[in-house]
Amino acid sequence: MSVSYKAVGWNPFKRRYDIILLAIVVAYLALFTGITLAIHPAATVEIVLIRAFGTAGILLLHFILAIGPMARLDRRWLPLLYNRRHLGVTMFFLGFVHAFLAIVTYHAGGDTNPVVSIFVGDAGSGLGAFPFQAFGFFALAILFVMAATSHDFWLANLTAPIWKTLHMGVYVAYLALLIHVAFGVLQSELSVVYAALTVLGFAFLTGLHLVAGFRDRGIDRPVKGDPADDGFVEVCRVDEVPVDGAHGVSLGGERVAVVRWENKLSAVSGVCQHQNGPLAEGKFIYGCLTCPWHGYQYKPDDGRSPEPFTEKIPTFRIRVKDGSVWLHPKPNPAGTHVEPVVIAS
Amino acid sequence: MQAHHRTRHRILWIALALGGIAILVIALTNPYRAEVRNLLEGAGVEEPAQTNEQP
Repeated sequence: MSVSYKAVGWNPFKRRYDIILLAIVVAYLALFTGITLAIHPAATVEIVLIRAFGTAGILLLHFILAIGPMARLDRRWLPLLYNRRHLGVTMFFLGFVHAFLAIVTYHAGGDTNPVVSIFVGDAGSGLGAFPFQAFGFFALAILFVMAATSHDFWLANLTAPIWKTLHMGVYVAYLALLIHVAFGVLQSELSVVYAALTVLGFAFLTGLHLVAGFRDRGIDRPVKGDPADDGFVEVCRVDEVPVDGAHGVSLGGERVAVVRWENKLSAVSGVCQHQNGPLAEGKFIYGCLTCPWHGYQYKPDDGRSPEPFTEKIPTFRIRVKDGSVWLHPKPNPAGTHVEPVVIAS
Repeated sequence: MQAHHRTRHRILWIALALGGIAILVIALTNPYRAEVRNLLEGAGVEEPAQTNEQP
């Protein structure tokens, strides 16, 4: 599994990361509150705080959603990707405080249960009746599930595919929050700043994901050439595979990493079992191909993580002919040993 | 399998992007919003009155 996996993976880097994160959040809240009260002295503190926590949460969510595609475009973003979950949990707490303050301010004074009031309190006329608060509640519920299951304990117990699917819910939460903001504050806010920032934020995230998606289309372009009689397909030249590294190819719709190590060549799935990270972009560390996203490791000859970890990925049959690498497109079951091809140094 | 997985993600993202555009267009161009803003601008109020009144 990870190069530096620990049951409780707290280390100086993460501490520094969290202290910086906390400092930025506190500074933002203080600045927002101070500036807003200076511009609008008549505004009540609770409404300013509702907005401060709400905007901090939304801004952080935009940042969180930008990290993935940014890391695809520039490897310098990878350290942030590694600890993205800390940002997610922080974002949930910001949203929770925003919701708590809003419920106390707008829903606690009536006869109806304050939580029930969230769902029935938007009654009015026309689009004013749109239940924007219910969408905020729905988004917060998704973010709670994600924050509560963010630890590696849940990743290991739920299994990576289920965990990853669950955490893709952040996109649904984002859409729900877009509805919450667009049909909430943007209906009555006179300043164009909120509307402009919402539109710009949405355009930024959509554009970023599109650009990263187009980049991945290049990676997923299938190799050309007719298969040999025994089904093997020529995928690349030997010299295209970096020493102690990997070269990614797309074969029959599957991403494959051709790995060069100790003058040998092997081929394994190009997709990490942890979170579908791009293994072909990983480095060769301690005799294993290491995922650039979270450091999960796999031995190139059998696709298994080193003991005591149990992750395994499919391998591919490989051969070298006239300086070209040939692979059989049918993946072996995960963890199947394939004798590496020895090449001249 | 991988290709199928990625296709699902791309469909999800396209649906979210189109949904997001629709949300923003409807939210920012609906007559209710214009009506509320006209009232607020006319009254010189910065925010609409918000009460704890129950339906």
